[in-house]
Amino acid sequence: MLEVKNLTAGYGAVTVLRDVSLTCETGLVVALLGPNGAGKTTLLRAISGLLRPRSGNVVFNGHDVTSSRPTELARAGLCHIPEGRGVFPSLSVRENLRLFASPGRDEVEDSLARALESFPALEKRLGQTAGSLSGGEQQMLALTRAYITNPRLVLVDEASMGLAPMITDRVFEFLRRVAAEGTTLLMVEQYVSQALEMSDTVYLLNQGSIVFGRPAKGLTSEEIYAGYLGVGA
Amino acid sequence: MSQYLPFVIIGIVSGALYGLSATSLVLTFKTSGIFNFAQGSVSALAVFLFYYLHVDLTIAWPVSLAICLVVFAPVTGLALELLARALSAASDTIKIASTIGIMLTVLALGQIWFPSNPELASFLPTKTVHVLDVYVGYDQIIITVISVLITVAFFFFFRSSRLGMAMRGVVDDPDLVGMTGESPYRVRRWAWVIGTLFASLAGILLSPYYGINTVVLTLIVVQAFGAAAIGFFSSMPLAFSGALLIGIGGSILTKFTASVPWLGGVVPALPFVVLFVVLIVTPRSKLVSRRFVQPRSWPESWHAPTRVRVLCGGIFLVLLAFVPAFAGTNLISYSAGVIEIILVLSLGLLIRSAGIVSLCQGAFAGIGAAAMAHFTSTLGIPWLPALLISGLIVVPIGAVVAIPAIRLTGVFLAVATLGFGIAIEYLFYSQVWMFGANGNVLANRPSLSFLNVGSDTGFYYVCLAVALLAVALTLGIRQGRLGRILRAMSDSQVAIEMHGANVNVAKVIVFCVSAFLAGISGALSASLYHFAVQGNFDFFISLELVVLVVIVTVGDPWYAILAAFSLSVLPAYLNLTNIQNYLAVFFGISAMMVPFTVAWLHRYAGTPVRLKLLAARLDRMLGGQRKPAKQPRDEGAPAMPSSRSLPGTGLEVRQLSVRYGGARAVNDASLRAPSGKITGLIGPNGAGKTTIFNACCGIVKASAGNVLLHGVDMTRLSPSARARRGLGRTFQRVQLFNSLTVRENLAMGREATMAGGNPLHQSFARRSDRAIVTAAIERATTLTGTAALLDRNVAELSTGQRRLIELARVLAGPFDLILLDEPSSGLDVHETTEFGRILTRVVAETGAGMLIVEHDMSLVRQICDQVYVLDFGTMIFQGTTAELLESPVVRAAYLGSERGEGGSELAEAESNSSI
Repeated sequence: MLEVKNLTAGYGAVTVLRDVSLTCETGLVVALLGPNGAGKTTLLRAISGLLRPRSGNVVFNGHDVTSSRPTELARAGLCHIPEGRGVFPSLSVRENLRLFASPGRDEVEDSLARALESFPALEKRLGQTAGSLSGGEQQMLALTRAYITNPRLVLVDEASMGLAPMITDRVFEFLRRVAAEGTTLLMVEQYVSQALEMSDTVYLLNQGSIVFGRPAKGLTSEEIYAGYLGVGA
Repeated sequence: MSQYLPFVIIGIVSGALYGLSATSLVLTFKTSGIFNFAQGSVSALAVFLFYYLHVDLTIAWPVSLAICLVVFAPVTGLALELLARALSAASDTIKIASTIGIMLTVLALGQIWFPSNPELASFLPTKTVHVLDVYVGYDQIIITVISVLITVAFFFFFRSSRLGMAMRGVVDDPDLVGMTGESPYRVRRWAWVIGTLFASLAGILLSPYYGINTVVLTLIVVQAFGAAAIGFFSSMPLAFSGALLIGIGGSILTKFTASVPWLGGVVPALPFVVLFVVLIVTPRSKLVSRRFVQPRSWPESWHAPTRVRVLCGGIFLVLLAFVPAFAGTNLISYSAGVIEIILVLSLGLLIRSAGIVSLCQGAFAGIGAAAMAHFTSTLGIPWLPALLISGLIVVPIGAVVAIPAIRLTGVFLAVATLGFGIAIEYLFYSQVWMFGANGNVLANRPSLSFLNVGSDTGFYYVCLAVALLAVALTLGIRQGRLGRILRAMSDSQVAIEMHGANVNVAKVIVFCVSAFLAGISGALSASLYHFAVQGNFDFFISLELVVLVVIVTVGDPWYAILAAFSLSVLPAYLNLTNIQNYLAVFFGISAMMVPFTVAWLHRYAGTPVRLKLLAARLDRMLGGQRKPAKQPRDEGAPAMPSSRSLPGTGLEVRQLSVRYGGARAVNDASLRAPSGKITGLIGPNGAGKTTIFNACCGIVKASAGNVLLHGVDMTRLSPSARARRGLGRTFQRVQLFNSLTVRENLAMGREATMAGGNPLHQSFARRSDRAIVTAAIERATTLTGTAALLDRNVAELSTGQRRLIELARVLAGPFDLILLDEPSSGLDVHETTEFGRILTRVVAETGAGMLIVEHDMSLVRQICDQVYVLDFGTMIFQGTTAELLESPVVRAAYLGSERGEGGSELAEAESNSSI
């Protein structure tokens, strides 16, 4: 589904990613772990076309999309839910959902129903601006995009960041459901144990390079934590 | 009441049209981040085309109007979108100059094509109808209805259509719009097309009332800036209401001012006064410049070796001295050119040194000119004192303009200065006590018994002498401490403040000096022509100056000479009708093209190598050294002293809370970072670490709690005052002064505290300062091992080197407690380890204290004595690094809950940590 080959990328004079390679098999869940500043967000941005890599390739669904625009990738079925809150704060919840949905009219109605089905709590908030929602509700709204547009591949960047544990549980529950529908998932996550529990493959990124990519089975959070702390990764 | 009604109705008509224009200005500004100074010019262009089609080609007005709206507006809108896209990565100065260039071009084209400002007969029915005791024209009704309908329809579209939503989405987050499968470029193209459409329509509907008068048309639509300011350049309904208020207010004022002649300028000045006042009183947070892309920075232009520059300057001066011998009847133009040099220098001081664009330089000069005329001819003050007073009289006015400069940056500041300049022009230029009854006042030239300084030739030399002084003054400022502070400020204002210099003081000084020079230049020009002439100091010249200073990129002071002579001397030799306007068109188009050419110029057309070699050879012939001068001799640099003789107790944060809006970013956090130790502050993303740093430095306000340095409470001090007490810092994103060399960066690390907040110390360095700065640079480079980099440009350094230089710069300063924000980000493993070693050494040798936010745990374990862990704004742990590794609380904060594995202790720890 997704193949990243020898990718090097950065901002201005700063190189963030060095020769990164990674593969996401169709229908599997891949966790991308690593300490703050390792370059996880930059990698997702490079995959979804927001950042043009300096060298290397991104192959999505059999096509080389290294120099594609985010718009084209989104239409081809890649859904990137960015770090922070992937919502338009000054638009109402309903307007957010309309923008998330594909332009056709039927799909707008359909996607609204699907969104409310995944997070019923949003129904009461439809008229409110997204910026006035709580952090958890904003994240739920952002996540609905991974569901209503039927994407092939979903990139999720720290969906649990800054959320209370109870909300975090619901976020993971939602992601599990998306994965269960057969959607390929590449998730950046800080909660290692939850990520290990639901993923098939784990990549550990540190200081811009992949430390290892291994099946999640048999991997313990001890090993990951050791990688974070730099005590023999 | 009924006596006001006719004025209210007229006010509504014009207000509705301003509203249309203001709406479109806000639309394009919000969606693309580019403020279109040329809004009025777009309207004027549409009017030109309409006039050509309707009057010259006698095409029926509906067809002409349709062509303007269906063909002209979309094409122009698409072109503007391309320009806006090219500008997105440009500096604020280029953003402003580029659209100002369009404004200048269209103004000049208007003078060329429609010199006599022909009338345009109203194409709408002008029959009147009796409404509420007032006769109202059908045209007025139609215009109002059209404007209101279109605006309402647009609001509806903006609120409820998918494209309108996408436009609002682009304002929030263009990247996210792209991720939803809608192209932000397409959305912006539509915004520009709609914006241009509205501006064109507003212009064409207004034209029957004002004729084809480009200046008036441009300014009428520029009045929409005032309305847009009422909506904080952000809310379209507010902007539209503001436009109606300005329209009605202005119209009602006409009733009063009609009988009081000296109030005549108040009505047209009203929108600009509103603009200036709104920008001064609006909370700063409401006026955030929309910048979607970080600006690229270019290295400083090349300078020939000093000897070569002095030689070239000398040769040029000799040439200038011989001008009266060959100039003949063009001598006056040369004098004007020499005077113009002073004016260009006054603006260059702002733009080139401080990155501040002022669009009211012409008004400064105008005030100087009028003052000179009254002082010399009316009051009979001797010439030289009169000249000085004329310059000084403008200084307080410069200080007034510095008020918005302190609060605003970039585009908003430029808009404020434009408003200020035009308001001055309208309010005072027409007053008898300013430029007299006919727009000019008699002014005298100097007279001496022993020297003929009053003749054209004599006065040329007088001007040349004053210009030389101005060159010396500006060069002195630029190369002196103030110049360094200003350049550093335009690169990174936050960094210069964090090193102890109060930039507000620097801004006020530079505006005062700039106003003084502009005033002197105006005064000289009044003497030159024997009259202070109103028309010489209109806003057109202010625009042209800005454009010239931006497009002429050669070094100091040559740019000023080149710009001034192309304004004044060149036209004298070209001897064509309208040459001034053709030149303005050329300058304007050049400025407009800058964003397209700047990257190309820097890549391919730098100073030719041959020229550089030639200059180097010339330098050697003149006795220069083969290599750049090495470090000055060791002036007994003290061997590694600690910055202060007695290290204090260090930094203490007591029960600090910080709120952003309603959200609590930091909650009751306390920590100590003692001198002589490295203390770590870690925690997950978004925990509030940088917020604690910013609260320590005074960049964000603490809602509760105290920050103490060496036992002294600093909570109420300004950022630069805290720095002067000994608190230094580095930044998560390296903040170097990119246009300065490494040596100048390090020097600024020390000099900023010397400058402090004292205007005298900011302007002049003490003799003894130099040795102190040299010693500080030496100490910092020895500590960090960066001596080899000293003469490099910081722009060409690698990330690792930039981090080291940023550290060296803060070490050069007199700081004994240093905050380091994620120093390892962007460094590879080896660089990080080395960086850690340097930090340990610095602390051991200087006794300074350090507080370090860091995510690289191996670095934290390597260097920190004590570690604090922050999660959700609350301190959850404090202890040694060994204790840290064992702590279940920290583990939980980093890894999340351990379902099924952990015991109750973990679950408890987690729930404590994340509320």
